[in-house]
Amino acid sequence: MSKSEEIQAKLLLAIQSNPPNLDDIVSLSTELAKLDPTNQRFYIDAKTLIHLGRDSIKDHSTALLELVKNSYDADATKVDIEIFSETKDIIRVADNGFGMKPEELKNNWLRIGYSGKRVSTKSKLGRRKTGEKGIGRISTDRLGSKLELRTKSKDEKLIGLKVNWDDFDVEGKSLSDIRVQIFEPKEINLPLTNGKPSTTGTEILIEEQRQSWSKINIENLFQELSALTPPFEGVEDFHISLVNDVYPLPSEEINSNYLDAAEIKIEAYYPGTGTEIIYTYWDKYNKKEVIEKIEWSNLLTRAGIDTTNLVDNKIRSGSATIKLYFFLRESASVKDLEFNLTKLREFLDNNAGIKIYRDRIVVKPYGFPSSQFGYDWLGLADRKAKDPAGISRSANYSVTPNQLVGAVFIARDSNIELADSAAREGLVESEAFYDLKSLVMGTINMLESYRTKLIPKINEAKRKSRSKESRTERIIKALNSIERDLYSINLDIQNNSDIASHIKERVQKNVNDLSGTTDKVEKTITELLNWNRTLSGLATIGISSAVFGHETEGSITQLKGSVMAAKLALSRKVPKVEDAIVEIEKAVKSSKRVAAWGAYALTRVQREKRNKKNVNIAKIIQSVVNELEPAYKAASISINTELKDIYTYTFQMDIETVLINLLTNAYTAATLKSGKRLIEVRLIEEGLKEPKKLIENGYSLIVSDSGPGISKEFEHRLFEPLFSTKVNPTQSSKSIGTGLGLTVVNSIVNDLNGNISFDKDPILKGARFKIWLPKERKQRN
Amino acid sequence: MSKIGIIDDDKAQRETLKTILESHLENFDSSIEVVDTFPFPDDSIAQYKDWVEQNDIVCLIFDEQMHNDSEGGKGPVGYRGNQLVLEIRKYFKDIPIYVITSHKNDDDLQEKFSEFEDIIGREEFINDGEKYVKRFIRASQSFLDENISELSELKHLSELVASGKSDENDLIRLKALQLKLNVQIDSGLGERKDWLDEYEGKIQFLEELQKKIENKIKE
Repeated sequence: MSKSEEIQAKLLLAIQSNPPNLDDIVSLSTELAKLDPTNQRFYIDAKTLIHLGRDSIKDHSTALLELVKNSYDADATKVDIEIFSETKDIIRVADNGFGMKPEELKNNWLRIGYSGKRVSTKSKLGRRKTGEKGIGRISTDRLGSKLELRTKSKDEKLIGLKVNWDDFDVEGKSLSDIRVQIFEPKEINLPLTNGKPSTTGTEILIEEQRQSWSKINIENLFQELSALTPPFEGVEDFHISLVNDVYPLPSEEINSNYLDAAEIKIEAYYPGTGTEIIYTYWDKYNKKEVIEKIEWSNLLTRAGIDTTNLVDNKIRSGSATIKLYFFLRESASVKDLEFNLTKLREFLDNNAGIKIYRDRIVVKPYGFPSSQFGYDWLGLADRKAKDPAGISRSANYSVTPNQLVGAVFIARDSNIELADSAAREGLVESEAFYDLKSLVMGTINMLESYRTKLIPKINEAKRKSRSKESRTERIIKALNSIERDLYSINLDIQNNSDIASHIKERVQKNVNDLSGTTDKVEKTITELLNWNRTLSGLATIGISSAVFGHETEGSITQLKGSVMAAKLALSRKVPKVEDAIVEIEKAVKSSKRVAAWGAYALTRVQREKRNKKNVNIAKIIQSVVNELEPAYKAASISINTELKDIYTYTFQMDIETVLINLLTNAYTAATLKSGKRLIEVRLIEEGLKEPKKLIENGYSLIVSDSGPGISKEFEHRLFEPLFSTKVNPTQSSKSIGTGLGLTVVNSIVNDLNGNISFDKDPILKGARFKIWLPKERKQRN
Repeated sequence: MSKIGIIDDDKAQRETLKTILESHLENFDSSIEVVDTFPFPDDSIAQYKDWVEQNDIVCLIFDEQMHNDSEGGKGPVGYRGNQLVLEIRKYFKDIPIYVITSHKNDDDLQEKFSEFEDIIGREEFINDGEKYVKRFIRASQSFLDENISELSELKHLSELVASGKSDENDLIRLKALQLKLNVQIDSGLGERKDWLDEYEGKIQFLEELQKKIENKIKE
């Protein structure tokens, strides 16, 4: 018998047995076919599957991601992932997609290289299907050797199969020699759909894991899952849940609130035809968007990209949309937002980078922080290293990868030239890809130029934020931030199974006690500041009274004297009526002076002065000077004023308190010298110039006197509370200083975010005090 | 006519005081008059001497705080009552000086207590002026009386010395009086005699010389 006949005979036996010996049928048929003298066939070694699956996938999270992508393509709205490698050994991925019919399982799933996705490109939900090459299912080999798949499709019965990949890892066996068990599962565990058990879906269980999962693996997986769909426009109908026994995860998903902290957003749109790209800019400082168009060649030139290979000015990548969000990693970025700088930095650390999304599914490794190669695929770090200049120093200012959260949106249909690389990760680096890269680089360059133009606005905003925030606001902000951080830390503690429950309780209790403290503190501080304002006003009455008090005393004495003199004059032998009249007139005058002083004291703390209002500073100063003038005249002091009209939004009492204290000091100083006694009060508009910053609008109040000036030895103690050079009354100055006048002034100036300085007046030769205060505008809410 | 002099920088206050004083003085049938002035500038304190002498002032009343106001383009001055009193005392050792002030208890003022006849509170003066004015009158009178006798003695002694009829005791007494009354000591008075002697000596010499020449010519 020939070989061929031998085989045929065995084959016949195998066919005729009951049930047919399928293994033998397959192998004998193959043997027979090999004896064909004219035609041969390719045979596939069983080990090939290992090469295609396990060996070609870099890590287990990539393998898992493939499964999730399949779920996505099956129009699943939910995917439950369970990874247990500590307590038990199982990985489970279950979705509520459309599942597989038994025919589909046999004819499609088990057919290597088959991809239903090549036939129909869109899912029922309209999702563009992701994988194509049809070897995704083999990648489960990377996860574990035992695979069990259960699936339920609509109107069909439950069906499943079991694969042991190790069976394929043998020498000398053909692919078709290895058995894959089919069975009818009694049940299937699928995610809930709208609260009810799903009617279709696929459940995959993997055992005998090849690699254990570490904390870092889980973190990276979470990151990659989170970033699987764009943070900008989430695929709202795709939700992934991840449960594991290796490392507890934060419950947060990426939420698009983080994008609110971006300083600048830029969007580039290339429609796929033509040579123009449309750019839309939005930034934190301007309310309106800016839109412009730019030519492709122009864009390349500006970005310093080589244009010699340009063919017909064509962009070979196809249509694309690029969205870039630029972040500054500083506290100004999170002003007025719900999260703090620490959280923002965490978000950026996890998500910074420019990713590529094809049909809204991410293409690894581009933009993934955990990928060495992919993270900075545009080479921004090197670019920055060559030119590290910060923004305002030169025209060149480069961004770093960790400042950008961005995405390039492409689609399979419109970007045919951008093909998958066979290694399951990345795209083939073709000319199309090169153009895409150039487009992104050009966009970054446009972002940088835009930012440079923004410098004046940025500086102004920084100025404004500095001056508008009073000490109180800064303190409250800091407290709020601390409170939030503590809550977050508490959450970690409560979720940490390693910490004893009695410690958890204590921490929780403390956090509960803390709740609402910030509000209470803010309220208290505001009340105290209001009190402070009123007390300063009252103190000023006292301080100025110590100096001007004897003026009033003098007036009262004069009043008494004049009345007595008039009385006596009229009682003389020959009544001196003229004299009496003169004295009575003097009496009236004196009484008026007394009344004026009383009025002055009472108006110091009037309620309306304690509210913030739009005022004209010049008017306030003039009215105070008018009130105090009689006292100064009585001491032969002339007050000159030179006042510019300055309108601002402030507390009238603060201005008056500052002025009166300065004038009181000036009064005392002027009386120390005989000769011409002068005080000058000037009000000018003045911007505050600080190095490397913009000028801030404000005004200066300057009070000079013709006194002896400030002794150098006391200069540094001038604003110390209770420090006074008028400690012992001397021949020259009888008034005892309270040592509080300048302290009150200093405290108010600080609260108003102003500056105080002093020097020698060049003309009057005495002391000159200058108070600079910022101009404020009433905020419209 | 003897006068009381008021020194105060505050015009209104000064004049009121004058009116009150004049009324009280009249009630006591005193012939003393009242005169007032703004303080003299720092560099011409000597003006006070002239002012006192020219006005026959026998009693002075100061304000303590006289360094504030200005008047007629002058002032303010740089000194207070307690400083002025020392200056005045240089010229007038005995003249009664009172200070009327709102700051009776001022330390510097109290330190100079012995220089004043009294330190009077302004309020008290306004209320009980009568009592104080009586004292002013008495003090003025005794000053006047003493002054008159001494002045006449001075006049008398000066005449004696001038006419060469004084003896040594007279000279001593004259010098003492000059010192007390602060009269400018005429530096030539004591030396005048010496000068006369010298003068006489020179005349004698010339006379003898004349005789010798005459004799020579006669030979």
